Amino acid sequence: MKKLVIKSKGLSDKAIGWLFIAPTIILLLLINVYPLIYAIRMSFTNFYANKLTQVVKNVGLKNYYKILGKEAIWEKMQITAHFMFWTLSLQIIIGLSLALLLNKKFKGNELLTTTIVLPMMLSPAVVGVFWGYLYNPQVGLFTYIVNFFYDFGSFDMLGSGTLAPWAIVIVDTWMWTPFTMLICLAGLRSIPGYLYEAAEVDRASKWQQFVYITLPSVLPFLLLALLFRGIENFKMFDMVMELTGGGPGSMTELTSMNLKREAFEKWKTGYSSAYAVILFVTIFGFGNVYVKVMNKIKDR
Amino acid sequence: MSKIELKNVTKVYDKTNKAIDDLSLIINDGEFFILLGPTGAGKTTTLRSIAGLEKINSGKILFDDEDYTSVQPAFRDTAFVFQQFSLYPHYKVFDNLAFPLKSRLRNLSKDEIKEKVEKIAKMLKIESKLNNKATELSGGEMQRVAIGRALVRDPNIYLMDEPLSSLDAKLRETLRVELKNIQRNLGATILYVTHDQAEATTMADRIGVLEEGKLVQVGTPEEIYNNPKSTYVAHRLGSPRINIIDEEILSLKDKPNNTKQLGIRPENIKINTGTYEGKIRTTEALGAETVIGIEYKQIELLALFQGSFKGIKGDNIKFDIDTKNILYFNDRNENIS
Ligand SMILES: Nc1ncnc2c1ncn2[C@@H]1O[C@H](COP(=O)(O)OP(=O)(O)OP(=O)(O)O)[C@@H](O)[C@H]1O
Ligand SMILES: [Mg+2]
Repeated sequence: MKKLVIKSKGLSDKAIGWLFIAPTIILLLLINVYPLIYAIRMSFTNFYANKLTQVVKNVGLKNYYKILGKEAIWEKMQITAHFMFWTLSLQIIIGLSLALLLNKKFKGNELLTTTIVLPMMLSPAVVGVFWGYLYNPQVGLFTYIVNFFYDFGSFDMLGSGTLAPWAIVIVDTWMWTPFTMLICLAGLRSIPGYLYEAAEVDRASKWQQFVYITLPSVLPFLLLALLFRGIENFKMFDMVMELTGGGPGSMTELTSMNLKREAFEKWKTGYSSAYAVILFVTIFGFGNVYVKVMNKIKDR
Repeated sequence: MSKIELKNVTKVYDKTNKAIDDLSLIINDGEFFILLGPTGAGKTTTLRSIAGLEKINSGKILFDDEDYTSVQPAFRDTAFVFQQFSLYPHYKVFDNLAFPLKSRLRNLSKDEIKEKVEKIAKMLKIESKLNNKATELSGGEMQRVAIGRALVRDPNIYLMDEPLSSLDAKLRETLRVELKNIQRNLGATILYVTHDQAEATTMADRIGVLEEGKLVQVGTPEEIYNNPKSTYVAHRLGSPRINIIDEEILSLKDKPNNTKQLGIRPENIKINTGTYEGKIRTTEALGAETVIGIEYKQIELLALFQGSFKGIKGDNIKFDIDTKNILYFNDRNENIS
């Protein structure tokens, strides 16, 4: 039999494909990859962005030694870890609970969902500013409500060294729990109803149904939410900056805020480039390990 | 095992049509009862109502004469094989089979569970798949696991919704025999739904024929086959299907008054003898038998011939009709033989 070969004129499919994604790739290279490489290069120098006339010297790994050798970065990491641990735990637990609630059919369900999701739509800086007012020790609504239930007297959420770390946890949880809730809700909606019917006929209790059907089905979704929120909160900046500015003292100064201070207040550009690379590697490493684990769980 | 009774059960999903309509039925303890009916007749709805997954609008459901109408599914203790297999996707076959045994209402030890699961797996020939995930099975294997998940239990009644429909013919036949044996040995009460009349006739102690939510006839397979109440029921059983023709075509002498239609089973038409003459329109070899479509006075009659048939399409053919076994239907399609 004769083989039919159709030669298409012009571009091949592959070439057209590349053409379509080329603008995006160029843009990504320009605004993501190039600055990254540039920052890595600068991290080995003693460049100061406010002393442009000074000769830039190559200092090797000195910046890295300096950063990792100082107590400060570990302190900031600790503050960040505290912030992340509590926000993520609370957001997962409350988010899943709300999702379970909203997954039931009842009147006003949709309206309630919309209302709950609202905080997520706000700008973090705005949230920071108005929670600042809510936390105000004299006229803040938050202070008033807490005192309504138990009279602590006047207390300053943002001004106290012990309370401030919790103040930012509360705000972030308030703002981003709707996000984990939405993702959990998507997971719950994907569970076919007949599984619960089968379990009910098989005489499984509500708790068993939750453990054997609901949890394994939403777990991949939960992990995804955790990944998104984890990355976001590791580089959290705007909301906390507005709210506490890192204070009191530096009790709520997260790594990202510390970095900003080094880079744009002290203008130690080379040094802070190294700082940024360290943070990047940390989150990139964690993220990669996490995604591997997540895939394993999904395949299970 | 229990006796199950439905008393005037009606289930309405939306206001306009009744999924099941005033259905009354008794399934005796240890009986293999088969519900037969076309798609949309209300078979699944009947099973779901008995299991308690649907709330019925009126009527009563009794288990051993006790009113179970508003009892929760878990306390009805029924075993359900769903039409869609509904395995637990995150678990291995073993855990799927063991799941019903883990209920706290049952309280079995690990060894007991293991023993039961392995016994059932062996019976259904899925021992080698016990460590597979439920999603890593073929359709037929999934269905067997679903059946197994019901059989590990000792419920009041087994409710099976077309459990053999996605299996190949050979396996279906094996499981048919197997299920019947299991049912006899356990003395199990089974309510079984199928489209497949071969399943119905080989397994059932009694058959109930459903039509648009109404139970039109209940009886042994022989009763339903030999004495169907209506043309509708007559069509449900028998393969090839019964010939229903206008009575004028044969113009018989001895027939009940107001006969409108006649029902003639294909095996009651003898060919190559007799006084009728027609033309061969189709032939279909079924192995030992042949189905012959005979054109006679503008209609087609199906005849069942034992042995392989040599005729050719378009040939003239003589045939005879066994008048003793003719069914007579009136103008309301009711059997008046
Ligand atoms: N959840 C539901 N909501 C509304 N109507 C339904 C629902 N389930 C079934 N019905 C309707 O009830 C009638 C009976 O359905 P049922 O599922 O009992 O049929 P069936 O005999 O099992 O059919 P099949 O052989 O196709 O499985 C159908 O008309 C169907 O459209
Ligand atoms: Mg059905």
